[in-house]
Amino acid sequence: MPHTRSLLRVARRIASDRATAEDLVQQTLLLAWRSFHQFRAGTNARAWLFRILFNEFHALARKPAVAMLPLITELEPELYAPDTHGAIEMALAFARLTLEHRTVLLLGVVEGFTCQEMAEILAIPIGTVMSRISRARQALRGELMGAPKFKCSAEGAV
Amino acid sequence: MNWYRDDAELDRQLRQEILAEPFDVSALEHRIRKAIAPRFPRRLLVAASAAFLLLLCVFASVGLRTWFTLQPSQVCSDAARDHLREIVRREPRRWIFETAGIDALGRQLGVSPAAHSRFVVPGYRLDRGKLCVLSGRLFLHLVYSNGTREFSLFLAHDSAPGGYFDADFSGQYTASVESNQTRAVIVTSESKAAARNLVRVAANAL
Repeated sequence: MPHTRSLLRVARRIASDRATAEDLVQQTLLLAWRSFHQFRAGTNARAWLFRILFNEFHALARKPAVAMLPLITELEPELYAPDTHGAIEMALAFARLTLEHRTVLLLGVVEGFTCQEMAEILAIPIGTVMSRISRARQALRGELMGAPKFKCSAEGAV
Repeated sequence: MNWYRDDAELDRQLRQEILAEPFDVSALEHRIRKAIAPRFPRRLLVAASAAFLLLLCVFASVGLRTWFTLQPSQVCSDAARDHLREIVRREPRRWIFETAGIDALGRQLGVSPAAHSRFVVPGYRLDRGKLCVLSGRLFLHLVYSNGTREFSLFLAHDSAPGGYFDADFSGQYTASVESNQTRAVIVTSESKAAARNLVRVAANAL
């Protein structure tokens, strides 16, 4: 399953916890499996999978019983394994971004989707994608500039 | 900390940090493969099992019925072979000549002694008897003699009603009939008519 890792990498940064993220990816791949006849040959299969992922994510978030879309403000040691102070700062700064900003950075910067593909995945206009990615970079920059400097203690990074 | 002022460098750092994240997807992929693996629908499985059991019962029932039901043709064939060997060719066998001993053998098979005591053929008398196996079932083999000629009467308990059957096997005329839950088979070297006549007498005696 070539795209599982990419899907899970993104899901873990948009879902509330790891278990929910794994459920989300599982549901995405099962849906893709069942509706493979809807996939148009010659189009981007990876983008198609991510579109399913985000559709499922939004469907899940609409369910009142499910607590979704938390703003990750705490560093999850399992999620980020940085080995330098700069990396920890980056991880924390990214985690403090809004879901919208995290999403466009994940898709555009990390997963390498074009603005057009992101617009299709997120079902938003391409102009919105472009402005959102620009604002996301600014926000990340702002978080990094304002981020407290890390110090190493006996208990680890604080 | 001026690297993040450049978009390309900021992206590179972000990409590097996120792609360096170590995590294992094997458990998740295993779950997904398990979920998409073709499964036999439970209801279909139950129905198929029930149908299989039903068929098994039917076949077992038919098989047991066939096993326990005497096939007259097979019985007559075996009886003719026995008669040819033991009566015509006189191959040595352990016969019982006392009536009491023959009656005891009959009782073992659920054949009433009255059956053969009522079987009276003018000029013939019960000479000897023993147990034998015809078509996988135990029969009481009685030999009647008039001093020069002999014929065989085979008797066995048989609850399955069966019609009359006669045939000629290697010159031995056989006739079989079921009456009063007893199967009687006559084998004689004389003629088919004689066999028919004798088995009719036997049926009346049973």
